[in-house]
Amino acid sequence: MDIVMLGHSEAGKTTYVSLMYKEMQKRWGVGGFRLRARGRGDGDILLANAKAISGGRYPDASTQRSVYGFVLQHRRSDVFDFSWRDYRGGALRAMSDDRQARELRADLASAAAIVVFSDARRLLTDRAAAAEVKILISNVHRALDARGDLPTPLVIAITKCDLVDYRDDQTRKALQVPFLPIIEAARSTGNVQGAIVPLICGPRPKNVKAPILFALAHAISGRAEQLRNEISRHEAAARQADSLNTFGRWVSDKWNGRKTQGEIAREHRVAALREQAALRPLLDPAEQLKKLLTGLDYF
Amino acid sequence: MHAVIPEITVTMLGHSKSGKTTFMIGMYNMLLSGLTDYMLYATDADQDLELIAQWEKLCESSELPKATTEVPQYYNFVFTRGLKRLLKIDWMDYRGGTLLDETSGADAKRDAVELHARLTRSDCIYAVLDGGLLGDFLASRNPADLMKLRASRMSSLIHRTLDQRPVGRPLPSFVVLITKADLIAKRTGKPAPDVMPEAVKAVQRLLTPVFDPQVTTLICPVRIGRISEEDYDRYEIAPQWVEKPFIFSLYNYLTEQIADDQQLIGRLADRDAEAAAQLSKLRGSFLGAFRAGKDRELAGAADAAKRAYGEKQTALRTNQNEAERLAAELDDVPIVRHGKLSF
Repeated sequence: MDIVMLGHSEAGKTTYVSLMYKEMQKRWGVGGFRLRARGRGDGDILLANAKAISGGRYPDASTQRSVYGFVLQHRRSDVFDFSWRDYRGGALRAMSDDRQARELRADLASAAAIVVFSDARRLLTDRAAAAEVKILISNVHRALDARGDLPTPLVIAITKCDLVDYRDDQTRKALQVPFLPIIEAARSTGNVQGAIVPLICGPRPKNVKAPILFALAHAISGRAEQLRNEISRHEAAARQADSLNTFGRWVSDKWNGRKTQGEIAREHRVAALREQAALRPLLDPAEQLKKLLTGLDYF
Repeated sequence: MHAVIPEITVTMLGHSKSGKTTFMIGMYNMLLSGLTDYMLYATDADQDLELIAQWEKLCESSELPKATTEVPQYYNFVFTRGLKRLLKIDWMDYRGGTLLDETSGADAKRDAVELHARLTRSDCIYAVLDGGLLGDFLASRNPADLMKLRASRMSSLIHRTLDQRPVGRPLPSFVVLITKADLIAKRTGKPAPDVMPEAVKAVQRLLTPVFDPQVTTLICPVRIGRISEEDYDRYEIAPQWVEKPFIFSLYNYLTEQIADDQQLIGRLADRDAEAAAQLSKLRGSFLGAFRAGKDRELAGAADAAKRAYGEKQTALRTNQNEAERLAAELDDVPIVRHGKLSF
């Protein structure tokens, strides 16, 4: 499962993933959840970045596409594998002859969750930020359309909120206005779960765990829902095959070298059991993750 | 994953500097950001970036888009309400001089030939009239000003398109797009509500074929804002009604679809009743109990007929609800139906 980070240059994507990883390394985790980096080197780099950030030194803007492989752990057991994809901000404005731009667009179309980053101070003070948001919205729209009815979590992470007065109502509204088209569009569907998260990613970080937990909670629920649908489909197909499993049909199938309805029913039952085995470990973590999502601005 | 949605081919007709490309860019950017509930995106991400960049140039530095080159630009747009897909649009942008170019012989220009071929298969044709020139005519009433609109070539192309429409292919709907519509009031010195009926009468004189009783036409004044240096001291981007043409195109498509579906539902209802009757007859007969295979076959056919009828009913209701919603958005624009104008 892929989570794609989307945002223009210096919106804070790379800073975020470092602080997020550090937050999820706490001894007892966050509500019992921790992250493990699949590549050992990745974890070390992210923690080193997080240490530098706590000293006021920020990582350089990404020049390369980075794919971090993580494992979500719950009470020290591995629960869920996912990839977290970071791109250089310029990839959003690049044409498709740019490799990262192509990769970003392809990854977005198959992303199980999308986290959009936007710099609060630029949103309020820089007219060019409005055009950037339009590009973000257009990409998100295209990605959500490609996913059709599949449940998709969407987080709008407003970064650098320590540089603006986020507690002021007017400021909060002004920061949301550029995203209203996609917020309203998401509200009108049943399959996009959204949240707006104000972030501070500096020496005193705030709300850092919210985007990752929201994305994972809903992505895992979405995956569980897909598995439930698959199980129902297999069980219905097995029942259908059972109803057609007459002696006459068995003879005809054997004579013609086809699979019998009994064999088909068995295959579907095996597939249903396999999906149930994949579903079981997700159920409790999905519920527990949702309990951690308090005080969020949902849409 | 996706329900099937209608796809239409839209072709714009209009002379150089009439505002075709500016309209398209303004329309795209306004709908990209959402207008009422409606949104739009280009399926090609590169084109999306270019359209946004051109709009930003227009907004920041009043730089109008460059005239289209001899290579026509094709776009595929998806029109949505929120995230619900409503319509796919195949759109062509071409240089204004194409209208006057030869389409045969040694001097035939490629884009002119393509344009003419495309008109015969278009579902909707947008005929663009320059509102500034229209305003000049309405102010002066001088026939020479009317000639500047150069509508006769468009009119004859439309007439030929209707005449040469392949048999069995429905006639296209039309949008008469009056660009720079703010200049009509500006140049006549009259308030817009007073001068617009005169503008519509002028359109009827200029483009008689779109008032043909067999076609449906939207007359749509649009503006991007106060961008004419000649007319305004202050530059301002304030688009108006740029979304109406697409809403009309979809509405027109749906009303035709609804009429077709209502006929089809009648036939499906008959088929459903016939299948049920055959099954009932078999089961009521003496030998019915011994013909399990035939019973299953007829039961399957009856189920399929019932399902098809039910699905079509659902699709019809969905289209009717959507058409109602769209009709409400078109309440305030003039539409010509059966040769008569209505608001």
